[in-house]
Amino acid sequence: MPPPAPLSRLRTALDAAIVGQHDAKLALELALLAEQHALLIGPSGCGKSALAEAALAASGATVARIAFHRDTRAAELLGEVALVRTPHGPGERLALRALPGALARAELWLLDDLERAPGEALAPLLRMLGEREAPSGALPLRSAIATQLPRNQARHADALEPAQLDRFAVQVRLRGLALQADATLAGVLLSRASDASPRAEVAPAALPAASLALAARGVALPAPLLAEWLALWRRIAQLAQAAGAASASDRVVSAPGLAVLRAHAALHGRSEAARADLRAARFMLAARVPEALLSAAEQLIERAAAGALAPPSSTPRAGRALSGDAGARSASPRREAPAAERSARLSPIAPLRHRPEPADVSRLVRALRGQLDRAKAERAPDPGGSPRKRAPLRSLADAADADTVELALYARASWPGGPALLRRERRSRGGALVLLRDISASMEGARTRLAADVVAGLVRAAAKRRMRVAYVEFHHDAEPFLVDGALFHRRYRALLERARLARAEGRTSYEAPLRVALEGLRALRQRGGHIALLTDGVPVVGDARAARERALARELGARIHTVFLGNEETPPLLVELAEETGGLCFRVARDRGRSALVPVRGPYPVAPLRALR
Amino acid sequence: MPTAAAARERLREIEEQLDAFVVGHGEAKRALLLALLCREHIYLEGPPGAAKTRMAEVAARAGGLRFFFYQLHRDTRLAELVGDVVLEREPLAGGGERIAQRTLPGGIATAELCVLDDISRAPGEALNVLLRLLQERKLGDAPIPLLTAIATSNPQRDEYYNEPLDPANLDRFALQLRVPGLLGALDEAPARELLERAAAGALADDARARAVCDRAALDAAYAALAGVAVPQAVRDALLEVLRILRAEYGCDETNSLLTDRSFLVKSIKLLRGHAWLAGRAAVASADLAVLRWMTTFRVPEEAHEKMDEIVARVA
Repeated sequence: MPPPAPLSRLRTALDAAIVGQHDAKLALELALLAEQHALLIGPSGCGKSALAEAALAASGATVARIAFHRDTRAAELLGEVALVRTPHGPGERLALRALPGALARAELWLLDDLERAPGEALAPLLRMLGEREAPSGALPLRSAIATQLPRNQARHADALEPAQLDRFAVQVRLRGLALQADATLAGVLLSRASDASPRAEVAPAALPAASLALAARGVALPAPLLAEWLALWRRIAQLAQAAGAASASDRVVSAPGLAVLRAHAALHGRSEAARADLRAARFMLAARVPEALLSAAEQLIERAAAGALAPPSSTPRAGRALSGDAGARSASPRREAPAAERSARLSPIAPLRHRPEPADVSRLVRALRGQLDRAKAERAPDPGGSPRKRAPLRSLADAADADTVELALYARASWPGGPALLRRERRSRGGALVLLRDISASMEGARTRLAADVVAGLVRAAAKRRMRVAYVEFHHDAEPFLVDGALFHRRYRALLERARLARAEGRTSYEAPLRVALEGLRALRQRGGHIALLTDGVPVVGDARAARERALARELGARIHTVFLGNEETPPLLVELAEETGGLCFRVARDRGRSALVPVRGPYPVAPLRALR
Repeated sequence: MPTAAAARERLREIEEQLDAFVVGHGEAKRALLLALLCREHIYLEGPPGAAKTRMAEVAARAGGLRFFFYQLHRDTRLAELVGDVVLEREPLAGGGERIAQRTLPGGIATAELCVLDDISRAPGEALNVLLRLLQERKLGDAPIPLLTAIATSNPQRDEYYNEPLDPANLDRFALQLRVPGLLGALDEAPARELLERAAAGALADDARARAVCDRAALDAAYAALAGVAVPQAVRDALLEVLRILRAEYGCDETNSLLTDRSFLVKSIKLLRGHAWLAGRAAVASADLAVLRWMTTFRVPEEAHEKMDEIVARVA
């Protein structure tokens, strides 16, 4: 059975629109064939929307487009908002109704810039995607194609949740051609762009969308293949779970996933799905598996497609299944899977025969407390945030943030109180703490343990305040501990576990870690972060004075707190760093038989030990 | 009024409907049934795509009650949940007019059963009113016909928008369960069955659940609950469970919600319901198993995980 003719026309149209992006094209074909929804994640300008548009145009189906923006409201998505006023007794009844809009009639939807939508406005839309049903009745929807920026580029919106992205069975990541190692495609694009002759327009194929899907529905799924499909997804779920990430859901692996599997077979002209079609899973991973694990997941898929995937090796711990339900409440320990070569060098801190008292970091934590508390992470007003609260309109100047419908109503007939004002807030605009831990060769034995204790104390203090934390180990170079690709996070447990692993190698530089910390704080776009620098020596590599970093810290209003782990005199540089940035400087000292951090000097009065009880 | 036996049969048919639409999740299905029977609210938390919403919807439809489904979202307005606003305008003598705002009951206020999907997404102000409504079963001073609310939610994670319900709010839901996905479960069989049924197109999908039960049957069942005896031994065992939670697992006011309302009053009703569903005339110690559907978010996780053990010890 050859690939259905409409499909080759679809491919021609896609190729005409965009150079390269083979995977994304395949993904779109799979989605249309399987009648599933597709999500294209990629940096701006890589052709996501163009590709989606080309697919829509070639499909000849009726299309509805939504470009999301920060004010997108649920009602807008369903259709136009109508204010229905009906007489009711002596007064009138006011009701907001959604009239069925373009979405109610279209077979294909284009949801552009999905990440811009306030995450929550999407909930009803995503339910419609899943159920293909609107409050007004059944929808003719076949596929929705959404585009989205990768998370590091999408600053203006709250992150979409896995639950929301799960509706998109097909999901792929696109990369710009310009940044790919192989420049062949970039060259093709360049020559095409510089070609003066007008491009041949591809006529809309006007192929009924239904004819595409028909071929896929009839594909047979042999039982052994189903078992392999299940085994593959269980392995992928295990992989993601080990990294503390959400993973594939029951829903997507069953009906929608099988539809994609069938589509993959149909695309390759098979009337019965074969092992090679397990590769369909590749097009379902982008937002389900953290980016760092994508290649590992793809290897699993390749092995499965080659028939070489052994059944799941290790079973999950009893009682705690692999599902994503290990949410915040259960707070199960999570660990970012370290890169293979790095993990080889890590070793847990050796347990001591006589376990000494843990270092007393209370004074450091107490001294920091006033400062950390000020940075307590709470929701704060933010123009790009989500409308969280309603407040009365106090002046007309605020009208821009008023609820539009209510504002219009108010203009027609004022009422006490006036229209509600949407107060936009965003969480996690609060405090941020970067822990910089020296792991140079001199940090061995007791010092490593002490550093681990200090890190643990600070992480717990930050956790209480729900601050975002970043953890960077450094010697001559800085090695940030990333969680899902992010420097700042709130995975305190994962961080504590990571800080328990230690090594000691290389020479000390302040320049590299401070730069990572400060650039990270800068990217958060907030003033007044905290940096705690744990070290046992002065820099011997890089700029010994870290002059540029000090200037940057002042510019960002970041405080650098320094902790010197050593019996010698505290290096003046550490005192300077702290004083200059309004931070605190501590030194480890023996106090009544245990290590304690004592303030060296700092702009804030620090109570003496006795007074602290 | 149908006989108790007939009513029990109808309730079992609800379970059959659930099985027709959803593979696995036996506990959640049982708990849903119990919620319908005992007129208690139930909260299901689980990862995306674990069939929470589907179960809630099927149970709602199969129950044959007047039901209201609402997908909560960040822009949820109160009016959408409880009914439209009525503005009453009345000219005042001497100029001007009096404008008063009332609510025309609708939504939850007129339903017997409501499904609140993604409950943790609603803005605080809507949620507060909503949860009070669930608790008091009153809108203003007027009683509402609500019997059972089924709420679902995804687990909360720091980086996302939804926020955990606070414990007091969670306490409104007598029954609380985690619904884990089948894919990652230790036992592969349910996931395999799900796939096989999906591949064969044998999983009822967009078809609607039939209303196999009705209000009369539920009324009869509810009335029958009062006749289920609660022996002293079971009451003692229940107190012993609470004692163990306190003494051995350190449950206290700061980390747990072992309220009198839930554990001394509602628990009895649920125990009766559980016994009645099994066709027993008196509560047996085996029925104490329902306690683990109450402790999910009310005690620390370590304690909740040991509930089966604790119940087995006192039984």
